[in-house]
Amino acid sequence: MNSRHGIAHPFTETAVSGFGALVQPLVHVQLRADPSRDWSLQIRALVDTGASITLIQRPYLRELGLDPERLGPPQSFASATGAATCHAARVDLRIGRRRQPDGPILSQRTVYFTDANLPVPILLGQRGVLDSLQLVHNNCGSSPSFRLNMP
Amino acid sequence: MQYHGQHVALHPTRGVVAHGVELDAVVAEVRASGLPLDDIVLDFISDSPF
Repeated sequence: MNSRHGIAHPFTETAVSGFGALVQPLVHVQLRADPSRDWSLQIRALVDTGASITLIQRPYLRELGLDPERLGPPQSFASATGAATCHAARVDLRIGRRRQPDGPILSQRTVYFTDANLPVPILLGQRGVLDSLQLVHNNCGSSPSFRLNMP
Repeated sequence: MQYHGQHVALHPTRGVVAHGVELDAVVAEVRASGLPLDDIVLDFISDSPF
């Protein structure tokens, strides 16, 4: 597989007061509890290569129809901004836009729902998600982009 | 809940088509709008950018 294989996602540039333009690898993700359910609406996610686990804002539990009683026990984790609590669950993830149905699908991966103040709805971390994908990062030149492919 | 910001629904040409503190309300507003759901992406505008 060469480095130009797969969908090229442009980096997202956002103007933030005091910091100037922030450029981030943001991607659209869809979730579902299992194959018997429909995919969710598209949700913005940050490709967070420094994160060990995938974190999702807790309100998305209800969008997926997941029963909070069936989540794992509370677990503490440390982030760049402090400690917080999360609960494990297993979900399917589809990477890419709805109109790009050939995006990678990751089945029944362990993710963690949290009330912590995440900067985006989903932080895609290494274990079970990014470590299952080939990430091609090309942030040089006039049209920087990245690709997330099945290896 | 420790969130500091708002959930938003974004459309590629119309921009923000729904927003609010509660995700459920934002999704309900989008579904009632009649806009093609394939075009919508849910995002979160945090009070702190990163």
